[in-house]
Amino acid sequence: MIKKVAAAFLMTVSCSLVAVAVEGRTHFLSLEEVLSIGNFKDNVLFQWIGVSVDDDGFLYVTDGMDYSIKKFAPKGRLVRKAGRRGQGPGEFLAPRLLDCSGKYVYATDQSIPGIHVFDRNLTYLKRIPFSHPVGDLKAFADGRYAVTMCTVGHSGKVLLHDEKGSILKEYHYSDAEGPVMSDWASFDFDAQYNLYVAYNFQDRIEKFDAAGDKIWSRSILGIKKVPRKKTGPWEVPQSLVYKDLALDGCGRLYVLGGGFSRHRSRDVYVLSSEGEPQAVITLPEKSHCIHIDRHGYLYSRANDGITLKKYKITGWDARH
Amino acid sequence: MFEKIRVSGKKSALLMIAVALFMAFGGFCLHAGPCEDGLARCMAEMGWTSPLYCGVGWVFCKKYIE
Repeated sequence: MIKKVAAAFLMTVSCSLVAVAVEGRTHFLSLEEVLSIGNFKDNVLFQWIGVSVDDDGFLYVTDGMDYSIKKFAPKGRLVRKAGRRGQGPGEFLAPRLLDCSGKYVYATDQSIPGIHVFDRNLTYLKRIPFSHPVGDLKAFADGRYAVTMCTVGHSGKVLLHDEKGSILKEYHYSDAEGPVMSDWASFDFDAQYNLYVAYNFQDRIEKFDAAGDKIWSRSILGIKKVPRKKTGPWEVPQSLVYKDLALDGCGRLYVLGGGFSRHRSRDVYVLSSEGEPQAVITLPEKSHCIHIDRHGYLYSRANDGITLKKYKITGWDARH
Repeated sequence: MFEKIRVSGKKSALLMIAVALFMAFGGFCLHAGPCEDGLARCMAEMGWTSPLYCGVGWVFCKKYIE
């Protein structure tokens, strides 16, 4: 009996099914790998960056070293690839963010202003121009999309657009003047159009209602000030506090920590929709982003971007 | 067969470059780091005309390798 228990424990550890205790935690969550795409031999992914999953379970990724976006079947088979190196229609120099709506796949390029729009078969449709680099991107099932703009000065707003590109609403999540990049953030919306923001260089996670009014603000790492160092004309932060955030279908918020976390770039802080700490999940490997699909599966990076992992999150009580 | 070997070579080369970069810059040291170096170089090369894109590249670099 003891051997069985010990074996089960070791298996749990070896599979990186790790839940780490934190103050306020109410759940022990673990990750169970259910899919792995790309490895050192198959040349499927070279450096994946953005990821999204459509309602039919197809996965879309941007591949930075392959200058492309790729579509995978739900079981991981590569079914389509689009893009090549260049600045023409549907071409990339540095593909980055990606999200998909009911009909479209949106992708950004670090070196080409705007958003590339493809249909779900990855046929290039158009480019939506923007005056500034896009900091984060969210597409909605009805064709609406939201972006943050990276600016040197004040940039704390999320712009919600309709399918044709007209601005429907501006969410001003920060009106405080601060040093450069202090307002740069990752964001997501829930089904009620509540906005969640995780600051990249501040220990702040916030929720706003659909009208743009702040509902709550949390600091979960206790970081008062992020050290900065002069680089060129700027005093840039030394490390990211939060790298990314995602919401599951139950309204829970998953925030990927950066360089200040106990496990750098591996700790995912889970908060309730009211901002209460629920758990911390530690990813098996460092990741630059996380994604949660509509069924609650979590996607993150492995092998420095050559592999995309899909995990089932286990440990929630039935009542949750 | 030849095509597969050729593609594998491309990936191996990319991996070697990545490993070399991480070995050179990824460790704990007093050096500013590859992202800061890249930001400074970008600023210098672009003549301060597109500092935002340099900044966005720096953030991406920090997110990816930190």
